Amino acid sequence: MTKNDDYRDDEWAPEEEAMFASLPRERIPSAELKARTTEAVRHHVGATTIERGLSRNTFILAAAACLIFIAGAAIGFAAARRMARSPDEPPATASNRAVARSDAPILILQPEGHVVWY
Amino acid sequence: MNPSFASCSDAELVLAVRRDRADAAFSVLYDRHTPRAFQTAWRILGGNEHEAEDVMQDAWVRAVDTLDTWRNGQAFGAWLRGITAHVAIDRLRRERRIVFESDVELPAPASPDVIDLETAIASLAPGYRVVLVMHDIEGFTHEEIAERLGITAGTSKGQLFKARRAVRVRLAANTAGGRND
Repeated sequence: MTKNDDYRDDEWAPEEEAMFASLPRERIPSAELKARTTEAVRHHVGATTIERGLSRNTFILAAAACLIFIAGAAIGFAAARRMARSPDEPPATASNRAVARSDAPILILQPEGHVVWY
Repeated sequence: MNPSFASCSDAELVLAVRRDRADAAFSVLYDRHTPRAFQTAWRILGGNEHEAEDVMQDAWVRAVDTLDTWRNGQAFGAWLRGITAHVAIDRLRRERRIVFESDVELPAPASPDVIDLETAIASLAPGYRVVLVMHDIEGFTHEEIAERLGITAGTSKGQLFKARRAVRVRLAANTAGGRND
């Protein structure tokens, strides 16, 4: 015999079941409990609503900040690309020769005679 | 009872509480279902009126907070009793009053006077009492009890077996005492 069979042998007899059936099904709490409960429910629901409102507002603000940041970055990036591609302007980098010229000491070159070899 | 909501169904009242936070609708719902749920809390807590009232209040707060989980067609009273039982069990567990692991010594009857079934149930150890009330009075299955108590269905069956035996011991002592008189 299993343990569960043992448990099954312990079912209530009909007269015991009748005793259980006759137990009262309801009990009236104090009148004060209703006022207390109503207040607690109202307070809790109100607090939850405020919390939900706050979290929703926080989420909306964060989403708006992200959108503004992304839009700003995109505009800045696009403007930078447009400037780099402009054909009218000279290249931003100087040639090696120009750099060499600017770095060289200023020399006053005198006209010299040219020797022509034949 | 508010006359405008008095004839409403539970579903209509629940909708009014959820959508409009209507106090009047809550009042009707409270009057309709509290006595039955309060009896459940009172029995699980061994007849402690004050604790049962605290549990009933917490159960309503939790119920209103989770009203969107209640499905139309489901008996609201049974749903509320489930929450109430859960809150009562939470309270017993928090105060470490429930013991399931081993046999609990049966306390001697409080007095040699004749006791009725209600008193016999109230005098059980909490671990026995919870399972007996939930199974034999509230109609929960062993699987449901096991889930709520965080035990196995087998443990629930074992607890019920011992609880029934303990109730019989108390009622038999009653009979013997009656014969002696």
